[in-house]
Parts: sequence; C-alpha cells; structure tokens
Amino acid sequence: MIASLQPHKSRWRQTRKTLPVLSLAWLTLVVLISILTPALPLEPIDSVDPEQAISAPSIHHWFGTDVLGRDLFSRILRGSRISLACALAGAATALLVGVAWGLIAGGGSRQRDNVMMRFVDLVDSIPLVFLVILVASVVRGSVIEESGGGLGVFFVILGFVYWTPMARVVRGETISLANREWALAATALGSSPQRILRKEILPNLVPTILVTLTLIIPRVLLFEAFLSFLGLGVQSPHVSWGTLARDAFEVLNPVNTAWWLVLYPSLVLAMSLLALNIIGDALRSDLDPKDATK
Amino acid sequence: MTPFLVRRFASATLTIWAVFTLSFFIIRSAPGGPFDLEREPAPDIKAAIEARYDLDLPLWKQYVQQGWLWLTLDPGPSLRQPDHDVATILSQGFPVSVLLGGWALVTGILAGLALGILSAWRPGSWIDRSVVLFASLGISLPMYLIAGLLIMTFSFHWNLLPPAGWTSLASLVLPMTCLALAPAAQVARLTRSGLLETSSEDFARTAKAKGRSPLSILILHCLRPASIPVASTLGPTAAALLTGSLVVEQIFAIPGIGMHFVQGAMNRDYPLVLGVVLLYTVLLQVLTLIGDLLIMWLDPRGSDMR
Amino acid sequence: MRPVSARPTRALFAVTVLFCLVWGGYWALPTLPGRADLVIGNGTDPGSLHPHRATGVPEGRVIRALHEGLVLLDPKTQEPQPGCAHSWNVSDDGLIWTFYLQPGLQWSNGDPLDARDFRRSWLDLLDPSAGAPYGDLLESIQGAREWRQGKSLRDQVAITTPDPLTLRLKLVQPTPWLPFLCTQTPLQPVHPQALGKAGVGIPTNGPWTLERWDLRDRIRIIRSPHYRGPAKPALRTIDFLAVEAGNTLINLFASGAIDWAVSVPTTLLPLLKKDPLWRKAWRSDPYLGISFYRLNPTRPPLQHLEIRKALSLVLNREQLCRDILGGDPEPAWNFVPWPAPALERQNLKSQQPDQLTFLPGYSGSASTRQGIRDVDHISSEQWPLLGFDPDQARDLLAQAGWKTPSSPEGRPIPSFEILHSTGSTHSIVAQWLQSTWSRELGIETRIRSMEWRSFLQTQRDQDYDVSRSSWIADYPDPSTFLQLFTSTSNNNRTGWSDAEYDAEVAAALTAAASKERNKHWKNAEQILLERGPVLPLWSTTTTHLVAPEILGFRPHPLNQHDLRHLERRSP
Repeated sequence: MIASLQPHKSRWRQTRKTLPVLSLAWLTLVVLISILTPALPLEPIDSVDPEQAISAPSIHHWFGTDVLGRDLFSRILRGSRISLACALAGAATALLVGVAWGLIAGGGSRQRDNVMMRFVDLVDSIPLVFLVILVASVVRGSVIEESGGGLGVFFVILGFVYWTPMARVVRGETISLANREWALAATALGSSPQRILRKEILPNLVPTILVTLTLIIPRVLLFEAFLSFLGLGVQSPHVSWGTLARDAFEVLNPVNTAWWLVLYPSLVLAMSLLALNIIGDALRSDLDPKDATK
Repeated sequence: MTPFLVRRFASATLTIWAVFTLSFFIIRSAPGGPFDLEREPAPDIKAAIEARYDLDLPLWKQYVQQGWLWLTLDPGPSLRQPDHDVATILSQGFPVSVLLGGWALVTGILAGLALGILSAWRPGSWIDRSVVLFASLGISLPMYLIAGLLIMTFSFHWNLLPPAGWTSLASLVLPMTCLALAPAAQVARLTRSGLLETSSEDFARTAKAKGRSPLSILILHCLRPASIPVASTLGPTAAALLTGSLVVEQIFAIPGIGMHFVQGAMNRDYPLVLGVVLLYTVLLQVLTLIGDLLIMWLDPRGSDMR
Repeated sequence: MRPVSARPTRALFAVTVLFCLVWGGYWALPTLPGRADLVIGNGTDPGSLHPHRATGVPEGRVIRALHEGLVLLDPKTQEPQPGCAHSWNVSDDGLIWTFYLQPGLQWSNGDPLDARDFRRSWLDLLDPSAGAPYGDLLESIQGAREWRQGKSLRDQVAITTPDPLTLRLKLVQPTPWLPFLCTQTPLQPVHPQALGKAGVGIPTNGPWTLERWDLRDRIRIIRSPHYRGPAKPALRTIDFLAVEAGNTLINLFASGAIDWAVSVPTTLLPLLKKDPLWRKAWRSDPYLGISFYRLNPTRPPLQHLEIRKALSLVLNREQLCRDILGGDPEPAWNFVPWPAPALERQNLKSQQPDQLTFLPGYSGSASTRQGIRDVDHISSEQWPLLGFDPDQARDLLAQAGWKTPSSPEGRPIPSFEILHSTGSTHSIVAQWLQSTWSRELGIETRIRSMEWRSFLQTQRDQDYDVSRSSWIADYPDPSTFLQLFTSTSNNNRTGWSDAEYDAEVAAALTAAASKERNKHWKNAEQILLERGPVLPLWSTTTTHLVAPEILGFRPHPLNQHDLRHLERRSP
C-alpha cells in the first residue's frame, strides 16, 4: 500500500470521515423532505400564475418562479419525491433482477454462465435509448399508467435500464467467492449449491451490492434527466429534478438568464449525486480488505 | 489466438443479427408511419407513396428484404430524406461522431489516468479528495446542463470558443470536454483504486526498497496491471459515450449520427434507424474486442477468460 | 493461451489508434470555404429538396430560392407579381386561366424553360402514383380529381399549352387564389432529369443553385448565371444551417455565426425581450394560421354542448398571449383569422360590406373582439364569439345541472385527458389549460404528451378527449380553414359531422360572386363556433431574429420570405 511506501501520514485518517458523514446527512435530509412534502403547506400542484412568470427570489417565493409563475422551492421539494421514487425503482429492479441473474449465472455450470452472460451482452448492446423511446411512446392506457398518472410505466422502464452492471458484478464476485476454500469445504460437506448460494455467498455479496447500488442510483437519476431533455420524462403537472434540470437548460441564454432557475436545481441535484458517489467510495474503501487507505 | 478470434466473430455475428431482428420489430410496432402529416393527403395517395417503399408488403417479407439489403450493404434511400441513401447519410455522419467520440474517449482516459495517478500518489490528502470530488462533479449533473454552463462561460463570458457549429478545430473543444467528463471520472476512480491495490504488492515494495520514488513506481510498474479494470470497462464506456453524443450533437449542432438515433425513431425512418442501430452494435463489438485484447496485453500473467 | 508478444504489437497498436484518429480527423473536419453572404439558422435539416415532396417550412425556404414559379409576391403589398409568367388573365366565369410565360427562360444548366415544363411538372404533381402530399392543391382543374381517383387518364387533365409560352387551365370551380398558389413550391417547375430526386447537379430554374448539401450541417446555394427571371438577387451565397435545438439558435445568433434565426423558444421570449439590442433584431409577424384544440364530441363529457362552451369561456386568452407566449400572438375566438383589423379598418370604409374578402395583403393580426366591434358593419351580436366570461360559463353549467365551484350540488363533471405533442410551448399551454379548468370549473384533467407521429396516429384514430392542434393556411382564403371540418375531410379527425355545415361549405366553394362566397363562409364559421369541435386559442405568429446588417426583410403571411430582396449592408 502506498502508505507503506510513505509511512508517516496518519493525520488524514481523522478527517477522512467528514465528507461521507456530511453526504449521509444530506441524503437523509432529502429523503425526509420527500416523505414529508405532502404534509407541507405548499400551493396546489397545478396552479399557475402567469403574471409572476420568471420572477427573482423574494419573500413570497424563496427560490423565485419559473416560466409559468410556479414557485421553484415547492417544485424542488415535490421533485425530490419523484426523483426518490425513480432512484428506488432503479435500485429495486437492479437488485432483484441483477442480483438474481448474477447469482444464478456465477453459481452454476460454465455453460449456463456463458448463455446468461451472452444475454447480458445482448441487452447491453441494444441501444437502450431507442428502446425506451419506443416503449414510452407505444405503451398507453395500461392500469399501471393510470394509477401512477403516467409514472408507473416510466419507473418500470427506468429500472430495467440498469440491471446489467449489477448482474456482471454479482456474477464476478460469485465466481470468485465460490472458489474460496470455505465454499469448497461446504460443498465437500454435502450442502446443496442453492444452500451455499443463499447462506454463504449471498451475505458476503452484500457489501459489493451496496457499493454497486451507489453507482447505479446516480445513473438512474441522470437517465431520468436525459429523458426529460428529450421530452419523454416525467409529465406535467408532476415534477422531478430531471424536469427541473431541463427547465434550467432551456432558460440558459447569453443575454439575460434567470439564474435562480439554474442555480437551485443544479445545486440540489449535484449535491445529491455527489453525496451518493462519496458514500459509495467510502463504502468501497471500508469494505475492501485490500484497499490501501486503511 | 485464432480460435479466440473466430469464437468472438461468431458471437458478434449472432449478436448483430439478434439486435437487427429485435430493433426491426420494435420500431415497426410503434404507432404511426413515416409519411404521416398534420395535413394528411387522401388515403389512396398516401398508400401510393408507402407502396413505393414496399411498406405495404407483409411484415415478415419486409424483414427478409431489409435483412438482405443490409447484408449486401445497399439499404436504399432514407424515408425522411429520400434524396439521399442511408449509406450516404451514415458515411457522412459517422466519421464526425467517431472523431468526436474517439478524441473524447482518449482525452477522458488520459485525463482519468493522470488524475488517478495524482490521487494515488498522495492518498487521503487534500489533493486526493479534491481530485475525487472534481472527477465526480462531471457525473453529478446531466450532461446537457454542463454543456449549457460551459457554453455560457467559454463562449459568451470569455469569448474563447464557438457556442455551436462545425466550422473549425475550435468547434471540437467544448463538445469533446462534455463527452470526456464521464469517462474521465470513471477512469480516475478505477485507476486510483487499482493503483492503491497494486502498490501494496510485492514488486512495488521491492522497488521502494531499491530506492525508487513513489511516483515512478506508480507509473512504471503499477499502472499496467492497475489499468486492467479500465480496459474491461471500455465497452460500456463507449456505449455511454454514444448515448451522450445524442445530447452533445444536438446542443452543439454537430453533424454526427447521434441524432439519427432518436430522430430516426421519431420520424419512423426505418432504414435509417436500422442502419444506426447496426452501426452502433458493430462498433460496440469492435470496441469490446479491443478492450479484451488490451486486457490480454496488459496482464501477461493471463486473465480468466471464462 | 499464449500471451501476446510485447513490444512490436504494443507499438503497432498505439500507432494504429493514433493514425485512425488523425486520419479520421482530417477527413471529418469541415472544410469551409469562407462565410456566406447570409447565414440562416434554418431549424431542422430539410427532408427533401424536391418541390413535390417537400412538406416543411425549412425545406420550403431552400426550394423557393432554387426554383421559381409562374408568380412572385410583391414584398411590400403582397400582391401577385410576374415570375416566370409576365402576365395572366381569367375568364368571366372564373373557370379558365391563361398564363403567358416570359421568353428566353433557362434552367441552371442552360436548357430552355417554357410552358411545357410547367405542364409536365404539374401533371407529375397530380400523378396519383407519385403520392405528392400537396397534389390536392390543383384538384380544382378539370379531370384532376378523376385521374387521382383512378377514373381517368393523365392526358385528360385540362392543362394545355396552345403554344410553348402559354399555359391554359380549365377549372371545375372558381379558384380566385390561383395566382397565389403559383408562388408555392409544389407548383414550381421540376427538370426532367430530376427523376424524383433533388441534389447538387440537378438543374433548377431559380436565382440560386445548390452548391453543397452537407447533411445535418449546412446547405449552401450560389447565384445562378443562367437566371433570366425578373428579380436578380443581391446576395451571392447563402448558407442554411441545420440547427435542432432552440437554445442553440439563440447562441449562434448571439455569437454572430448566423444572421437570421428562424424561431425563438417560448421560454426565452420574456427574458430576451428585456434587452434593447435584442428587441431591435426582433421580427414578429402574423402567420396565417390558428392554434387551437380539437374537442372530440364522441367522448364524455365533451358530447355536451354546454361543457364545450364553458371550457372556452373560462380561458383568458389575452393573459395567455401576453404573459405566457411573450406578447406577440393574438388571442383568437374564431377559427378563421379574419378580418384583419389594422388593414381592414382602412380599406373597409371604402368598401361595401358584401365585398368583404379575405385580403391577400394580410398584414394585420387575427380578429379580436375589439377588432370586430370596430368593424361597424359586422355587428357583434351576429358573431358567435364566446369571449372571456367565467361567470357565464359556470351559469351555463349550473343550468344544465353540473357541479361547479359556485353550485356544488350538481352532477360532477367527469375528468378527461389533455393530449399534446412534445414541445415546451405545447406543454406549458396544456398546463395552463389544466390549471384554469381546475380552478374555474372544478374539472380534473390529466395531461398526456406523445411524440409527434404517435400523436398523429392517436388523433387519426380519434382516441383522445381534447388534443392540441394547429392549422396554417395554404393560401389566403377562408376555404383553407373551413374545409377542415366537413364530413368528408380526412383532416377532420374529430368525428364531428354536421349536414348544415357541409352544405354551407359546398355552396361557398361553388359560388362565383365573392359576396355570396363570403356569406356562406361566414355562416359556416358561425356553425363551427356555435356547435363544432374546436377551441380556438390564438392566431399564430412567427418570430425571427434578424441581424441589423441584413436589409430588406419584410413580413410574409405564410412565413415564406423572399430571399431575392435581401441585401447585406456593407460595413
């Protein structure tokens, strides 16, 4: 380890923890707010006020208003709910599908592994944007859609976009774990492969899964923002951080930008994604026995 | 080597065929057609123009016909731009996209390697943390927003670069920067952790004992094995670049093939969409192969090719 | 497997990669031979530059520079002016038109051009197997409709050339807007070598020829030495840049890379207008069209007439146009943007009321209630304008037994869906509608946005409740608007059908005297507004940004600015 090459650095160990702790605090705040938002005294979701369009921050509107005169602060709060839901949808699907796939592929015969990973390669090589656009425009009128106000299908689509990295990582780790001595010993003792997978390997995968999750969730959120850019994201009157990002982009111009429409959503989004990345890095260095920064 | 290449070629062919079939049926299942207009002509007139492009044949016949046309690399005219062949459209746009994407990839990787080395040289220091933060910023905002902010800063606040267009070398700078941010961040992270890992190995300690400086050890000895994870992500990174190029090409008005992806689907320009999909698939396969070859080259101990 | 052998392979690999990148760079980088005299940020990359296939505004702009029709429009008065034809006349019954061509006209490769080229091109346009989207523009020619329906032959269409410089048409119904039609791209001539395609090297007959077409990048046209027409252009080269994103257009204009931006994103309108320099570059002109919502009367709750009326009465269109759309579009309560207050008020004093026609010199804005009242010979009681009256709307609903915020005892109004195609303006307007209907009438609605072609398909299938629509005139006459909603029109797309409306439209189309025509058109519009499936919102305008160095830019009712009259002021 590098520290062994430079043996006298130890002061940094104490401050190492502040960033991850701050990040965790921020994310907790975001989650709390998104849960509490319906209880807060915000204006109704579909009220517009054209006379107040694009006005700077003031007492009435702490973060200013957007092009239809809606209060930006409330939109950010509301947006956190939908963005949180997107993140959870992505995480849940990645978890369920990806972990299952990786476990089964890595824990089985070489042939099964080959076939399953070829499928993963196939999924990866299909331009997903294209698929999502088509599905988003083709699917309509389903029960999910009506109940979620159009968002149900949307979340499902998002979830299916990002399960492949999880599958790959889990498969790699499963193979490596399965070859460890204690796993081989368990087999010799007569445990069935499924039992080994469930009881021995899966718990050891948890750290890796967590770390991969912290990588996947930011990508889900960024993909949602990308869909909003194309006009296929969350539909009005619902609002998410992705739509706010798109509104921010649309307002950028060389003459006279409504800075509040750009600054606040960007800040909130960047801080949340950074927080996730920082936590992911910290988890990885904590959990990886070979990591040098211990 | 040869059996390996043959196997890869066979599986690539299979993948390409599967992607072609899937894409064909997906796009044909989307509602609406290429000749829909707000101001619709009479149904029989519309049918006449659809018949000219064989869109009135049964679907399986069209599938076979399209497959054959692509096999002979002669896909015919675009439906939205019938003055041009799909082959011409793609051959005009593809070099532009490859140029932009290629330079973005190279810049991103080099920048990421440099940042990773810097970070691993002084781990835990403020250099390390600020490098990690800086790298993470590139993936903490949607690319279009970063692009917009860069344009405002470099094109208008400091009149340095053109805000869009494809007129000179300077037109390349901003789009390339936007595209390079994500690979740089990822490569920096991977390089840093890879370097930290390999620097604890025996050969590194030996070199240190021999009196070499930590930096030279990092670069000369640890970098090669540490780059293996980087090479293995070459495929997915390239795929992400392709998606990113959609946004960048639209914002910076760059005549690549990225927009044909989205626009082709939205315009129901079936031959063009199939062409773009096939092109991307082939590209991904080639890049993944290059990545695998790189892994073999970098790690002479041989890797698990399972 | 054997490890790959080290040094030579490594070096070779690195060299190959670098070589590919550099060579690719050399090939892919642009080779721009200097800036053109005029650079236009033209929006979407044109589909086809063939006059018979083009349907969009960006391609029309290029085609009109490359081709020239029989007639041109005077930029100041918008009256028809000689183009390829130096004069024309029409018989008293309005059915026989004769055009006399200029002698000595040439294609851009030197080939001679005469009336026979026009005849051939127009027959190709009408050809049913060609599938030209605008072929119906010439359907009033005798024999055309039968040929297109497969009941007769090409030679039986009544377009004749008694001599090489004369073109004669026999019509089945009067078409007073025919000279205007001759300025439109589908009626411009096509060279026999074109064979259904357009591109560099294919001869055209306009002031410029196509020099290069870099896909998704730019189209460059250059002045043609063989042009013998009446209007020689001042500009030598013109570039049309393909720019998809609205913000990018603004950025390019701000940096001076383009001289003329053809549109401004709605979200930026209030911001840009605050800057005095930008206001100077601003051109906002009426565009003969209407932005409205189609209502599907076969769906609940829209089958109830009072609900359709109430939905319209609560909309404060003035607020929409002023605060949300940046102040340029005019609110519209009726369907045909007619009469135009400013110009009409001057001319109407001298005209008889029954002579009121739809003036080709359309330079005013759409009718507002104010405008109608000023035109004193059309009394507002006769005019079924619905205006802005939320109280009346709630009363209407309460009387019919519906529940409103002011009368909570009635039957609740079922919720429905607002459908629009993707686009920030459409989305904003839909949200405004949703919010207004919820607040004023207590009606809950869902918004759905679909990408364009799915949207069109859905509209064609009549699988919507209310959907966003717009219609731009093909020529300056009420028929282009009011024919939309006849029972047989395949652009109706609402399922609404009314025999009386059909009768009025049919009578208007066949009437010879303009007085009678206008009477029927007015009746038809009254029926449409009284019980039809439309919710008019605003009459369309186009917004352009034009650099102050470009002179000669004048409004055109159909956004078809003639590039011949533009010049660049030398610094």
